[in-house]
Amino acid sequence: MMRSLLTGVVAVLGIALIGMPADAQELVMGNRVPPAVDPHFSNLTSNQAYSKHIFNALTFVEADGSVHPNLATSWRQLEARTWEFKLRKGVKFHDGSDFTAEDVVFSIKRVRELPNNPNPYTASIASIESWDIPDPHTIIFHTSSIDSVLIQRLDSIYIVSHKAAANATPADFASGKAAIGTGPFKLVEYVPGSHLILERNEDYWGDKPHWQKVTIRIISNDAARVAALLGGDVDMIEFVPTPDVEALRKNANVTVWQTPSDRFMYWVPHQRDKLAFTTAKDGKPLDKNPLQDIRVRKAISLAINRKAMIERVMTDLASPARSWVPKGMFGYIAGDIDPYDPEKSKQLLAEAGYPDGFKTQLNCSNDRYVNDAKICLATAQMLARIGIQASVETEPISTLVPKLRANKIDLFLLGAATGGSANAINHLLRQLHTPVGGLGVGNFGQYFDPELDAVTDEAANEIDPEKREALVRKGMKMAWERMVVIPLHHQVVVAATKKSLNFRPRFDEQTLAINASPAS
Amino acid sequence: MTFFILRRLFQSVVLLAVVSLLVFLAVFAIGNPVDILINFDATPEEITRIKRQMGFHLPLWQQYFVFIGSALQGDFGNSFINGAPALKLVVERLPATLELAIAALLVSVVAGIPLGLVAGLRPRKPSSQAIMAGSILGFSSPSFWVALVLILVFGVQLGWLPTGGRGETVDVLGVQLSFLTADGLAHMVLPTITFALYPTALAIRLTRAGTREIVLLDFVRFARAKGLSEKRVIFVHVLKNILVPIVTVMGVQLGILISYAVVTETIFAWPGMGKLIIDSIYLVDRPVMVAFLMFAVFIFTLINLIVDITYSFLDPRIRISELR
Amino acid sequence: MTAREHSWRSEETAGVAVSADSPFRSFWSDFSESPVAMAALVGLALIVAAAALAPVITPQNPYDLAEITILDSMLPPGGKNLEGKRYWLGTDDQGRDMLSGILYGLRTSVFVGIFSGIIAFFLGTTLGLMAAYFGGAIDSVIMRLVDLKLGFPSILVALLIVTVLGKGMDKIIIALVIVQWAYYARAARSAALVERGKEYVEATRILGLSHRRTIFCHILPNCLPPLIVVGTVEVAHAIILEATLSFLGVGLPITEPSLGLLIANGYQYMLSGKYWISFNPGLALFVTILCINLVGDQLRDVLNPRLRR
Repeated sequence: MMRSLLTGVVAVLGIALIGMPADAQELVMGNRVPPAVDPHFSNLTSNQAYSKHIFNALTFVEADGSVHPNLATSWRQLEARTWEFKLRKGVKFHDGSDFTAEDVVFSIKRVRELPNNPNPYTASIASIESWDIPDPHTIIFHTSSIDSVLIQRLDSIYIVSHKAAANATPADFASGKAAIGTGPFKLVEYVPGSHLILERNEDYWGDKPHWQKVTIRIISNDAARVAALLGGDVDMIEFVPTPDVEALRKNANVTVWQTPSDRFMYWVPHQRDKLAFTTAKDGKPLDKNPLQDIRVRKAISLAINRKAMIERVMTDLASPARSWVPKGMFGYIAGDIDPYDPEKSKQLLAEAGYPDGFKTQLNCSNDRYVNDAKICLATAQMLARIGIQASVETEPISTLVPKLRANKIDLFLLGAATGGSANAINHLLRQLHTPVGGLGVGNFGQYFDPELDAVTDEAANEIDPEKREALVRKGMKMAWERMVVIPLHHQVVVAATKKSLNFRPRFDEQTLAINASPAS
Repeated sequence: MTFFILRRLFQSVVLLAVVSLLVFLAVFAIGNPVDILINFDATPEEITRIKRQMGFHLPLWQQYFVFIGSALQGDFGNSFINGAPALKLVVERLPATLELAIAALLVSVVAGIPLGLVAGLRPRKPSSQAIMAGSILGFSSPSFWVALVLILVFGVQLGWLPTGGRGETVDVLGVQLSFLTADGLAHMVLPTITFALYPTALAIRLTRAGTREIVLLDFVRFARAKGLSEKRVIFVHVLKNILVPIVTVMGVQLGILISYAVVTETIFAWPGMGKLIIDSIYLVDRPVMVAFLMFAVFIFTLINLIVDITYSFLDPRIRISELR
Repeated sequence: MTAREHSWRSEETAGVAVSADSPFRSFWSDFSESPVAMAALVGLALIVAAAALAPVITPQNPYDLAEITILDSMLPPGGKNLEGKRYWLGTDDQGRDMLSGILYGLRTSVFVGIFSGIIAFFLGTTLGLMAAYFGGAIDSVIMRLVDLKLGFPSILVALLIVTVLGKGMDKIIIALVIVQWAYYARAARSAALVERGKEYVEATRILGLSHRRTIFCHILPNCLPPLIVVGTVEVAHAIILEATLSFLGVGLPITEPSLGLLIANGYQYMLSGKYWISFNPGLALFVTILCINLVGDQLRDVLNPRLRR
């Protein structure tokens, strides 16, 4: 009796749920991270993806990493430190006003001056020193140094209307008042914690998107996002958790889309003289930092069973890294993948003077990279087998970063991406260069190598693309062979949609509605 | 009387001031938000510049006075994650949490009081013992685990109910409500059950205890002796007398439920205040954390103040013992 | 009134801490009257024994990373690894034996619950007794603090403390003590207020005993029954709270998972049908809490006559 009653109730609810069939021009996305809406507030990949719906930048980096015209139709390098951009004519903002160079200048100033912004976009335009506006549709930038990735970086500087956004706060963008862009969609409403609704910009200058209305629901919890797709609440989801991919592939109503990410995962062996947690097995201090010895770094690399890690932890959704950038990107080299060889690893440790291994600590985030905490634990297991006794500490990336900056930890997991530029020179400049004058800002392991710096500087100052790529490859090879970091793998970007959709995921983890279309 | 109220009011203000200092120091101890939030690509000069711009280079006490000064005007700063005013974010999430908490409270009163009445009137019957066993189960089950099992059974295995989110909402006077649509209602079922478990068990116990006490009292015996129908005895004499204290206790439960929303909302991805505080802890969104804590403490101080003053009206002895 | 209440009543009227015919025996005969409570007591004894003996009886030390291997990860209950080793309750995503994990987790949970309970008991009882014994300003200061604490929900207070202090066993225990002490203080005070007016307290004063001696040697033993009832409730409460905090990711570190963390780890695998990682630790937690509550319920009935008619 109870059972049949329950079934009845559920059947009624079920009918109500199925309700109307979704409009063919309507797309419902399930995203992981809420938006800032203000395109100049909080420089996160997820925010850049949201901004690309409502706004345009001067350039556009495609899903494969190539750079395309956007609000700028063409550009050229007048001199080593001078770039000229021709701006698109006849472009209108959502409120009908015209787009001119004045809006570009306003946006650059706003990026630099927006108050109370703990994570600004300023680094992307740090090299721009001054500008000239010969006519309303031309802008010339003078940079303080030779900036070989300026055109890629301008992809993340979104242009807002100098009228609508005058004196606007982030709250004015969230309310929609100032969220006036030139992009393919207009903002209809944003309900914090719940959803964002966009409608097609019928006067868009470029290819009009297929979708008349796009609803982006914010579902931070991984399992809940998958459940929402399976339950038909959303048409597609980003950041599919790796444990669920296998089941989704088998599901007849779902298509799984994937593409190699430019996110490179690696262990950083800190190079300072006195480490904090690294001691002999009996807790006595060591006379030097063992991680400064390349044999120890190699031993750690040989102790890591990458095949098991990728199979078990990443459920095959990663590929062992051969280079900082994945195959096909600017500056790729086919470096060696260290095999799993515990015997040789122990032998190297013994040669370096640690036949019994040592104690250390692994520090990892638990909310930033795919399966980061699990990689941490699995690595500790593998190190235990060659005698390196590692304790494990995992925490949100937000509390890990201050420890990185203060040089407080010894051996830690990081993931580096090219910042959308698909160009290995970014890694040489940020993660591998000695920290000086804005370079080496991501060199958290304090690895200082004058030879490598020399190659990097030469590459950065080289204008000829072919010569530059050769230099970048040379630097990459040097870093790889010297084991500056202990490489693991490249992540894979995974999205899932209903069977009725086609989707193109991007290497930089940005999920865009314009990349979704009905499957024909 | 006035003296008592003034005194309690003064205590509440002191309490809020102390808590504000504790919360400020606590959150300050977590670290400088610029170090935490800024992009990996930022140079040290850039970091210093932004710290100065945001006032984090000032000494601690100066930062506290700046904080208190604007907090008194209802300004807890803007979220570091999306730039919106922090207090507004918290208050915006209140209706979603309240909706779920009130639904759970209704369920617990509607289910708990009749069950407790049955158990209290016929304590020796097997059905009553089963009810009491059920209430112990309700007390003993960790709500987050029950939520997982419910999702596993009804969401995943049977596929009858949605596993999370709020579903379709209706805008009523600027407030989004779920329970007015079939979709929203379906989304509410599992979180409400999870949420209602503890207060239902509590309602059963309170009703049973109250009933057992009251049926032994003379006026109920007289009513029965007068030959009034059992129904009349129960509904007029028993229920009338036990209902007030039970409803009072359950009302106080609302506050407790709201804070336990942290767990339920996290699991069911329900966009309420509880989920907001957990998200902001993970993201170290300092202004939102502070705004939430101060808001919660303010609400509870207010509830306590109202309860105390109400009781002092009802029972003058409390005032006297206070003054002793 | 039933015969079971007899000993408590006679003791109260006698006004002496220990009566001649062993109160423990009559307490025990009262307690053992309920078969459910006896079963729960046996269950609880087994759970505590299993938790205490976990390092001896488990097939694996789940906290020793050298003993677990990722190659054995995600085996279902009863599954065998490549070398033919069988895992009765399966393994988790790190290849940890779930049976060992659950027993060690139980050990952590029970330890945290009891240890924080003991500290809170001493802290709260001392303050409660002092409040009742001295009265006046001491009483009102202490009771203001109690009201203050009880005015705020435990989860909120614990969350705040752990957010500030960070993760770790010691921090969780501090948070749990701060959450619990007020319940003991309130119970101790109300029990002691009744005792304070009695003749034997007057007698100790006349004899010139120190306050400390009067409070701890004479008043405290007579206040124990209600405190024991509060104790069982609070230990159960503490265990659930620790599990909840760990589940939310602000409790214990992941290398030494408690039950709450095991459940949280398994949560993400539920949709792909690997229920055992989450379900079984939850069941263990549930049974533990249930046993404590059933024992506590019976204790309340036996020790406190007013709640039973």
